[in-house]
Amino acid sequence: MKPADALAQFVQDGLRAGRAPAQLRAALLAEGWSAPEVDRALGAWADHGLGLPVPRPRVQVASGEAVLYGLMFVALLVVIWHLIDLGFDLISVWLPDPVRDSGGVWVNTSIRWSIAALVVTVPLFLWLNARVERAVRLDPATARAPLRRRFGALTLFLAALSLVGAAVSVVYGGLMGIVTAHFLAKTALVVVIAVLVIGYFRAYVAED
Amino acid sequence: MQRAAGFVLMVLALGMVALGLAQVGGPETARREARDEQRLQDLIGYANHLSCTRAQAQDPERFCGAMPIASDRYTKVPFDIQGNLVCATFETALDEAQVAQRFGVSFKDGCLSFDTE
Repeated sequence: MKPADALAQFVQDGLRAGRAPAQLRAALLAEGWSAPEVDRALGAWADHGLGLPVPRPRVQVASGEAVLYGLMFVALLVVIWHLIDLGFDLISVWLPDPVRDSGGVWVNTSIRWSIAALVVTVPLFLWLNARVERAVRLDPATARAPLRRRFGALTLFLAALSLVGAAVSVVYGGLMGIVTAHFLAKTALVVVIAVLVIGYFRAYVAED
Repeated sequence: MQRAAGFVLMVLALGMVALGLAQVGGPETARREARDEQRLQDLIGYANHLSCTRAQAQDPERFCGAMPIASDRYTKVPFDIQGNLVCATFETALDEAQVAQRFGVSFKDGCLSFDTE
C-alpha cells in the first residue's frame, strides 16, 4: 500500500469510528505527516450527519505538476544532450582523432547549435528547478509526489545507462586499439556529466 | 551533495558555452564563414563551367548551359583565371583538405584547378 493510500484509509477508518477530524489531524501530524497532506486527506471526506464519511470528488492528477515535471525533464534532456554534443565537438577540434575525420566544416555549425540550445534551456531548467524546490520548501509533502519520484527515477535510469554505455565503449575501444586522448576525453566527459546528474537527482528518489 | 552537483553541472554548462564561443567566434565570424561557403560554391560552379566550355569548344552553350556567376557576389571582383586555375579571395582560412574531400576538387591558396582535357 502506498503511503498516500494508507493515509486515506486511516482517515476513513477514523471518521467511521466516530473520531473528530481534529483528533485524527493531531495524531497524523505527530507521526510526521505534513499539514498540507493531512488537510488534503481530511478534506477528501465530508460529514453529512449520516454516521459515515462521505467522499468528496477529487482530481486525481495535478495537471500543472505534470506540465512542470514534463517540461523540466525535456529541458534537462536537451541540456545534457547538448553539453555532451558541444563537449565532443570541442574535443574533436582540440584533440583530433588520429584515425577518423573530425567532422570537418560542420563542427562550427554543430557548436553554434549546441550553444543556442544551452543558452535557452539552461535558464529554463534552472527556473523550473527553482519552482520545484520552492514548492518542496513550502510543502515538504511535494517531495513525495509520485510524478517527482518518477522523474527522478527516469533521470537516474538514463544516467546509469550512460555510465554503462561509457564503460562498454572503453572496453570496445581497448579491443579496437583506439584508446587515444580523443577517445578518453569523450568518455571522461560522459562519465563526469552522468555522475553529476546522478548526484543531483538521487535526492528525488531518496527523499522521504 | 545535491546542491554541489547542481552547481558543478551549471558551471560546466556555462564554461562549455564560453569555450564554444571562444572556438567559433561571434556573429561576424559566422557571416564570414557563410559568405566563404557561398563563394566556394560559386567558384566550383564557375570552374566546372570553364572545364566544360574548354572541353566542348564547338558548342559550349548547348553542352554546358548558361554561364554561372563569374565574380565574387559580395565584392563584385571577377574570379581570377590563371591557366587552369580559377581563384577567389576568401575571408577565412579554409581547410584545403576538407574542401578537396567534400567537393572532389583540387583547392590551394584560394584557387581551384579545373581540368582542360
